[in-house]
Amino acid sequence: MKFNSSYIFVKRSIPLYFILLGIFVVASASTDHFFTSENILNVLVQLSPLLVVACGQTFVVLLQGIDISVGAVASLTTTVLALGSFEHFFGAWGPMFLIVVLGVAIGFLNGLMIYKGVTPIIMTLGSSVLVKGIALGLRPVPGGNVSFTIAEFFCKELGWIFSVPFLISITWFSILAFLLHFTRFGKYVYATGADRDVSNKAGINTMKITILAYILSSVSGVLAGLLLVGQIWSGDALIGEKLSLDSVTAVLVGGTTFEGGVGGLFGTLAGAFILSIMSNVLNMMNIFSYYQYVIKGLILIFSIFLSLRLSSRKEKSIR
Amino acid sequence: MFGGGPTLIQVKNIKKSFGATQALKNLSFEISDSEVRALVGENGAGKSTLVKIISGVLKPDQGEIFWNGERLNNYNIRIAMNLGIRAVHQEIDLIDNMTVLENLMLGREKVSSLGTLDYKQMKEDLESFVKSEFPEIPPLDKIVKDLDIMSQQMVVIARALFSGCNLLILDEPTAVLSDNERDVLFSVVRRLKAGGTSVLFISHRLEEVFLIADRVTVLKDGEHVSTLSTAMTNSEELVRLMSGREISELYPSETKKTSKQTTPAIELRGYSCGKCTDVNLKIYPGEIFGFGGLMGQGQEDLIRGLFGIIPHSGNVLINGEIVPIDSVKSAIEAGISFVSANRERESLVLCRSIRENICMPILHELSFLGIMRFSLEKARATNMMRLFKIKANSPKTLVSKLSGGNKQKVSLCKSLVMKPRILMLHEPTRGVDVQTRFEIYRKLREIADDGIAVIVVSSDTPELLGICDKIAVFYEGALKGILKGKQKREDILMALANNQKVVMED
Amino acid sequence: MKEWTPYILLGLLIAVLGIFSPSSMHISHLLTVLAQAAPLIIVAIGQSFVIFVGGIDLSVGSVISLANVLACSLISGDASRTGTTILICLAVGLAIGTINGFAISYGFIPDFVMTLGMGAVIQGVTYIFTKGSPVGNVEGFLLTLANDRFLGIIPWSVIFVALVFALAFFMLNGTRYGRKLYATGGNATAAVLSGINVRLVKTIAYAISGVLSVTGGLLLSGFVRVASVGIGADYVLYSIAAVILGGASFAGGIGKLQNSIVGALTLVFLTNLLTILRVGQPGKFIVQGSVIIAIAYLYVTMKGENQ
Repeated sequence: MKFNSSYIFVKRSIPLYFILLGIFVVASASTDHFFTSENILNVLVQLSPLLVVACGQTFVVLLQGIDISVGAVASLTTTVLALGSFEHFFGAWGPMFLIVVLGVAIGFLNGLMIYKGVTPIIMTLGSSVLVKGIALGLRPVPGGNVSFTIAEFFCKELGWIFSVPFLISITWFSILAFLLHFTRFGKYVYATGADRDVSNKAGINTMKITILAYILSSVSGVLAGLLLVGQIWSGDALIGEKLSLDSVTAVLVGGTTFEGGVGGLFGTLAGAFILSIMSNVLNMMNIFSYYQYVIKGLILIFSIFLSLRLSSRKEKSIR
Repeated sequence: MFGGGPTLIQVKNIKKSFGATQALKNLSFEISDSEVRALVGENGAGKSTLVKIISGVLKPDQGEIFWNGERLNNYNIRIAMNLGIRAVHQEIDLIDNMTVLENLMLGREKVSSLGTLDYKQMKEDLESFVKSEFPEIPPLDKIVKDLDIMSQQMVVIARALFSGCNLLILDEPTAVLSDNERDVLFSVVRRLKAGGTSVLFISHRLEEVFLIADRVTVLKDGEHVSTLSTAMTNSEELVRLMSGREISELYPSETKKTSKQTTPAIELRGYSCGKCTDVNLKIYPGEIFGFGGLMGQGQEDLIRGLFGIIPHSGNVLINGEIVPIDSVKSAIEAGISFVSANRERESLVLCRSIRENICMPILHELSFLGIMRFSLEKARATNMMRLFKIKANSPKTLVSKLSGGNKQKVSLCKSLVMKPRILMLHEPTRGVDVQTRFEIYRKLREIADDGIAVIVVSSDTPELLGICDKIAVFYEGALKGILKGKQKREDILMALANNQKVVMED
Repeated sequence: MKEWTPYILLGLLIAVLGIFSPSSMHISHLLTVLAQAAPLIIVAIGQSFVIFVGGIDLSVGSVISLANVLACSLISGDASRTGTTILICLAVGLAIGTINGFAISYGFIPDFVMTLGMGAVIQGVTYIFTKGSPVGNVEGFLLTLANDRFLGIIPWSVIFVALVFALAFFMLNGTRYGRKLYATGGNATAAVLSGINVRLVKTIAYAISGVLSVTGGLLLSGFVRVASVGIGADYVLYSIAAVILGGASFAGGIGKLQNSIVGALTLVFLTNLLTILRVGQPGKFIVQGSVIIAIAYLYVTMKGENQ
């Protein structure tokens, strides 16, 4: 274990889990309605799309990039599914096939352009507007014919606090965590994010790594869109808008920064949980739900401030 | 005498140009099996370009490359790596946050049947390698960021060797090493040679060439001047071949002015900063004062503290008065100026014009109530450019477009434009060609003769000996002695630098 | 040649516009478009300061929304309150910008994080302030500024924008501060070593962005007359796009203010063209997104050629 440096980032995320535990305890104590299986189930269902997208976003941020198009991709997913069945093309599964292809294509375009030098914010901003346009074209107003089987599947409850969406998001997290920490691909993501030149000189195909990371992020967006379909049972071209910046928030709170090559998925997991639980708690306490914007913003700022203080003191003399 | 043995690699009639600049003009060159070859030449002579062509990074415009007598076509990095050619550059090419093991295996990790990284196997493979061939490698589970420079250097070289190396290329490997560390490196090189690997290394330090190389190749202006056996030549001849000058012409003659000052321009009492501790010394106007010794013994921290970059304790007296220096601004106000060793990162704004760069420290003088007086700015910049002979189309040219030597001149101008009383320079001629180097030395002499106290921190001992009136030698943060007059000699300096006892005259 | 790219692109766009709709080449139409572009241009000017100094301001959208909501509820149909309202709003904008700048320069919080967080906080504050249903409307000066024309031809908003631009241009190119700003953006370390107070320079840039975001929001309020909680949302991305389409470097130190204006105009005229071609909203987004990507990539290839 100690030869694998990514273990360090797992260790670094442990304090976050203590904070999470603390929030959990306080929440349970302050109101009766929090610590019920019904509520927890709800929290986990709401958490799932965010978690899925945040996992993909982690890979991209590790590469010193950002993907603000994921929200639009999630929205697009719901609108494509709202097209119903494709008669001559795999029936009810036709739309799923199509959206996966689209997701991969968008991720490929993002990754390629960004590798060639377009600033990630501008590129993914451009692609998010583009994708939003396609989604609105397919579905100018929310509605459509989402296949019953598919929608039902993605909102199925499995008893107690478990649900299909939550299971899917945890599975996705596990797969991506495995990729990140135990495969060459993950290692190369860390390396490329830390120093692209050194990685190139070592023979790593940094273009391939970059493109794959953005594809992974877009596919995460697609998966999140499927989970959203389970919640809204329709197509909505604007449903995923908040997911983009929320996922970046979760990643940053989780300790992965734009420095490159620093951070990991376990931190993101904690970040996503922290954000979701806080939202839920505020709703519960009948605190005016708009306060959550304020809280979210403050969490973000404060957590970064803390993490910078606690981490090794860099030479702040010249700043 | 070395000269025999089969030829390992040969390049013939290589030409390479970058735009209008011809880096290599019809160069031919070869290295034999099991040979240690030094490659010397002034900056701009073409050493780095030649090395890049050999390692496959650059394609020559014309010319052929032969390996073991066979002609190579469509030569590139991949082919070079397959042949066992490994290049190690000056920058430490490692991923800081990863372990030694991960860095050694970067790009060629072993993967288990499941597709996961097989750390167990990699550890076993490396441990046998370490034991048999390279015991100097630091522990495999250490994070590179936590290692000292020497250990990092070892990791970089081990990386190059691990997958089999027939020709190892080292670019200025000893620039950051102390004498002891260098000896360790050289013993590794000798071991490689005994094992059949050839080593090509670029160096500016001629004394080292004679310590380790079998033959030395001199390049000048993109051409091969000569390849000599080290047993049959000496430093003077090399210098002559490299620069076309005699060694005595490299530095301007001693100052004719005698100092009549009694008040030091700057005096340190009990000054501690970073690595340097409890320094007491006086520097007078008109002196070129050098800080010597091995790199990283506190000299750099000392001057950076004087410029307000890092905190320090103790007293600093300027012209006899204690002056508190707690920020860059206060240092500039006290009349202190600083030229950093790393000009691209620390002193130049590459994307702005020469004019803007030069005038950056004196914006207050060139403006009225916040509004810029452009005629003044232009005049100052043009004047400085003329005084320092900066070759550029106009003051509006972007600094990024200048050559290394001219960039250094801009950096120098910037530090002089506020008419300081004390000028501190760190590695003033790094990456600078011969001609510009001489101009800079002459300029420094002029500046000192004008009454400014000049402090030079340099790892280039011959440079210090050549231009400084006095040299303070440091070892592990302490001032070991100040050389002047007849004691200003290389042997005494090196002795003090290595903490040996020397009798100092007062 | 490369310097003129933003202008060439805008020129091409306008030419295409002229081909498809000759009537829009009339000066009054052009001026109308300019008037509509005014809020974006003002915000883009603020964003320019921040990007040139090497940062980014993601809070502009929320600040615009807040300004709109505040103005409407404070004026509430009573034109005489306009003066105080404007002062209050500007003060708020200045405060927000200063807090941003302070946290980024002195608190070492990364600019992305700080302005993103601040944006969320301000958005929340806006919602809370209006309790979900915004009230009030604008009367008087702001209405005139946004809608009336000087001598019946030149919109006052265009004149106003020109004034703001002139002031900003002077600040960036004719003052000591401007020199310091570009130096800081180009290489903050070198700027520090030249005695420049980099932290103060950055803080001021963010403060300016805050004030200009509010200004844009106030002008926008004059256009729409009523409050709308999410009115500023799009401005974040489009102001950034405007600056980058003007050829500025995201890293800082390189960029011309006039080119940001050209970038903003490019976006606006593009939208205008699409409206005239009767392209629906979806189509507009698709084209806008594609154009942003294409032009950004174009700049990248041009930079590559220079090396």
